[in-house]
Amino acid sequence: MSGAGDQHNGEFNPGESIHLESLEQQVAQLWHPDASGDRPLTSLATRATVLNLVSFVPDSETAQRTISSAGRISQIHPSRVIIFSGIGDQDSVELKPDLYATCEADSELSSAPCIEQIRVPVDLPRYQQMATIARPLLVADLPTIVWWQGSLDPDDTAFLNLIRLANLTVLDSLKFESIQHLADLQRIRELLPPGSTITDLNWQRLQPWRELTAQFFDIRSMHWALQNIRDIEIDAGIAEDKALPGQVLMYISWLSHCLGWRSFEARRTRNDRWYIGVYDRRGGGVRIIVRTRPTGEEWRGQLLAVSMSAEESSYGSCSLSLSRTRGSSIIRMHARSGLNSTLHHAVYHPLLPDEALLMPVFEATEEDHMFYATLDRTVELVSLFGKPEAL
Amino acid sequence: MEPDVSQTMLDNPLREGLSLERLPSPCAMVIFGASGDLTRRKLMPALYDLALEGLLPPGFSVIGYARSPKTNEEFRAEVRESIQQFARRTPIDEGLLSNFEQGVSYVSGDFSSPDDYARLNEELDRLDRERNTSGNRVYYLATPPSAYANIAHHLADHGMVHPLDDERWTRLIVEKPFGHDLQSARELNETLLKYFAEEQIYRIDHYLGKETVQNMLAFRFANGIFEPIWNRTFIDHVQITVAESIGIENRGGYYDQAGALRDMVQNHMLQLLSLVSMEPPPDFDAESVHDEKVKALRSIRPYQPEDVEACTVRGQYREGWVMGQPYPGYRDEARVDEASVTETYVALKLFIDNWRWAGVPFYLRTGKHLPRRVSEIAIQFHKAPHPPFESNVTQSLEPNVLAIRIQPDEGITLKTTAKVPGPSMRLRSVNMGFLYGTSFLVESPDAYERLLLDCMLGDSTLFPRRDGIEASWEPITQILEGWDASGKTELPGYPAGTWGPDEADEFMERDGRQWRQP
Repeated sequence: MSGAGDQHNGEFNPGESIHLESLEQQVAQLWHPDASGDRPLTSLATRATVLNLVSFVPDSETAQRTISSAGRISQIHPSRVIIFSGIGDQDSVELKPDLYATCEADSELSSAPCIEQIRVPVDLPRYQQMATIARPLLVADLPTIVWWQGSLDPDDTAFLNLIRLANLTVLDSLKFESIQHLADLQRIRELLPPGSTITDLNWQRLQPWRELTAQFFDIRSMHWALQNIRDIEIDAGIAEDKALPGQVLMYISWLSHCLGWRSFEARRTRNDRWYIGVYDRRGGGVRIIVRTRPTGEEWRGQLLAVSMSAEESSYGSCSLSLSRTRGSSIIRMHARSGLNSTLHHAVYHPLLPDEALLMPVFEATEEDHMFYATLDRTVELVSLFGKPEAL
Repeated sequence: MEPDVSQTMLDNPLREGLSLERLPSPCAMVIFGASGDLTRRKLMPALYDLALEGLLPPGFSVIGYARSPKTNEEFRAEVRESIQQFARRTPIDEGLLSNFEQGVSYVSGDFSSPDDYARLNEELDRLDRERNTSGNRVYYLATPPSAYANIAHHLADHGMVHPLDDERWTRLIVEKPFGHDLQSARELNETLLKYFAEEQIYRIDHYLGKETVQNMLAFRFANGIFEPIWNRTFIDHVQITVAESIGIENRGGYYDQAGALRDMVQNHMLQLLSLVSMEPPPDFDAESVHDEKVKALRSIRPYQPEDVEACTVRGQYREGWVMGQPYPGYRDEARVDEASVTETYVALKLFIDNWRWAGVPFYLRTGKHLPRRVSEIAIQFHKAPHPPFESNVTQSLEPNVLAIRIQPDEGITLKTTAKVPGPSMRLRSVNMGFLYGTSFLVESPDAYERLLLDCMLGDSTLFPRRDGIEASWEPITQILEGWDASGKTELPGYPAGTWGPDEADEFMERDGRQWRQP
C-alpha cells in the first residue's frame, strides 16, 4: 500500500444505467489481498468500518470540496462515501461513476485509514433514482448519514427518498437561501421515518457559544443571574441576504427554550438592527438587540459577540460578554459581578470547516432533542416577525 | 458533602444537551514539587490540552510550589516550554497559551515551613478574589512520598483543607508509590485521613486513565455476549502482561528499593486484574465500582510463605540488546547495589477464590528490558470439548483467546479457528480484530488529562480507594515476606531484550501452559 491513491474506474457506458452489482464487486475487489498484485494491501489497512456517508452536491465546485472533506472525514471515521454530483445542464458530461480508494499510509496513526469513494454524476433521471442507486451500495450494519448540500424542498421526492435511507440527515441552514426555510427543516423532520433524525451544521457552529454561556452560569455565585437576565446584545456578520442571521435566531431560541422565555415582539428597527422583546418565566421583560456588521465571506451570518446583563435587587448586577475577534481562533469571556469581581476566560474555537463540524455529529447519531426544541422556537420567532422583509 | 456533579448540571438548564456535560466548577490547583519532571512532562501539558478542549473552568489557576526560588515569570517560561515540548496537540495556539499562562503563578517554599504555607494561602486567597476560583482547591503532591504527611499536616494546620460539608471543595491527589508494604500503606492512609476525608483523597494510578482500561468496563458490561462466558466454566486461565522495553533509566535509587513487584504489580497490574475479574456493579457510581473491585482483590487466595517461591518467578536483566541498542546489566546501572537482589522481572500465579473464578489461574508478568513495550490481558478459553474432525486435524486445534490490548495498538482480538480454503479439512487459527484505531481514529486523551479532569469534577471512579490500595498490598506483602524468608542472594538472569528468565517458561510448563508472545 502506498500513500498515493489507488484508483479504479468502473466500466460503464455513459448514459446507461448503473450496474450496481459490478460496482459493488469492484469495491470488494479493491480490498482483496490478491487483487492486482501491484497493489498489495496489508492487514494494517482500515476499511470502511464506521459509517456510510451519502452526499448530494449540486455542482462540480461543491463536489470537489465535498470529495476533500469526505477524504478528511474518512481519515478519522473510515467510511464508505457515495457522492452524487449534479451536472446541471451540461449535456456533454459523462455519466460514468468513479470508484476511488486510497489509504493514508503516511498517517501518524498505527493503522492506515482507507477511504472508499463512489462518485456518481447525476443528471435529472438519475437524480430521481439516487436512493435506489445508493441503497445496495451501503455497507450493511453501519449507520448511514446523508449530507444534503442541494437546495431544500420538502416536496422533492428524490430528496425525501434519499434521506429516508439515513439514520441521520445533515443540512446547513447557514447556506439556506432564506431564513424562512427553517420552517421547511421543521417539516422535513416530521416526514422522517422512526429512527431517523436530522441536524443542522449551523446548530453545531453555536456549540462553543452555548458552552461558554452555560459555563458562566455554572459558577455558583452567578446562578441567580440566570433568572434575572434583562438585556442581551448580539453582533453577527451580515448574512447573504442582509436578513437576520439564522444562527442568531437559534441562539436566542435556545436561551428561550432553556429558560422558559416567551417572545412577544419582534421587529426590524434599522437596516442592520432588530429588536426582540421577551418575557421571562416570571413575567419580567428581556430586551434583545441584534446588530449585523459587514465582515469577510467566512464570517457571514456567524455570531461575533454576545453580551448580556442581569439585575436583581438582593444580588446586584452582573454582566457577561463573549466575543470573537475576527481572524482569531479564540472566543473570549469577560464577566463582571458587582464592582470588583471580574472573570476572564478563553476557549480555543477556530472557525471550523464543514468536516470538523460533521465529525462530532457522526459520533452521536441519536436525536438531538435540544436542536429540535430550538428549531421549534426558531420557527415561532420567525413567524413573529410577520412579513419576510421584517427579517 | 461533595457537590454532586449531576446536581450541578440540573442547576443550570443551559447545560442540557451540551456535549460537555462534565465541566468542573472554578478552582485553583496547587502542584507541590512543581520543579519536577512529572509537572513538566505530564501535568502542565495535560492542563493545556484540557484548556484546548475547553474543559477547564473559567478562572482556572495553577500555583507551582517548590523549594527553588523563582519568579512567576520564570515559572511561566518553564511552563510554556514544557507545553511546547510535550502537549499532545500541536501546534500550540499562542492566544490560548497566553490566556492559560495568566492563571499560572509560583510560590517558592519549603514543605515544612509554616510561613511558606501562609504565603501560599495568601496567593490562593488572591486567586479567589481576582479569578473567582471560589475557594475550591486541588492539591497535587508531585513529591516524594516522604513529603506527603508533612504537606497534608501543614495544609490542615493553615485552614487550607475545607471540610466535606463546606460549600468550597478541597481535593488531594497523591502519586504512587502509595506505601512500600501493607503496613506502610495503612500508616500513610491513616496519616492522610487525619487531615482529609477519604472522599477528598485521589490516589492516582495513570493506568486507570487509559482509554482501553476504561473500555474494559464497557466491553464487559455493555455487551451481552461476553459476561455469560466470563467464568470458570468457559475460561481456562488469564494472562496479564505488562512488558517494558525500557530499563530503569535514571531511577536506580528508587527502583533498587522497589522492584517490579512493588513498581508494577501492586498498582497497575492488580488494578487490571480487579477490572477483569470484578462482578458487574449495580451502577457506575464510583462507590459501586470500587466496592466490586475491592471484593475481587479481597478474594485473592492468600500466599502461604512456603508457597511463594513455587508461585512466583523473579529475574534480573543482564547485559543485552533491546531493539538494536546495547544495554548494561541491572547490577551495572547507576545507583544500584552491585549485589542487588531486586527483581526487574516477576511472574506470578494467583487464584481468586470466589464462585466465578474458583480454580482459574491468573498469571501475571512484568519486566524491564523485555523485547517490546506491550500491555495486554489475555483470556484463554477451554478447548472445544469434542471437535468432530480427524485426529490429525484436532491435534492442531488451538483454544480461543480473547486478548485485550492496552498498549500499543489498543484493541481487542479474538482468536478463533477457521477452515483453510481447499478440498481437505485443514484448520488454522485466525484473529478477529477490533483495533481502537480502526473504528475511532480519534486520538485518545492522555491518561493525566482524564484523571485531572475527573478529580476536578469530584469523580473518583478511576482512582483506587483506601481499601482497594490495602487489599492490593496484602498479597504483595505476603510475596515480599516469602521472598525475604527464602534468603536468596542471586536471582535468575535474562539477557536484556528477551522475554524473561528461562524459569518463567518452566513455571508455565509445569502447569501445562505457555506464555503468549504478545
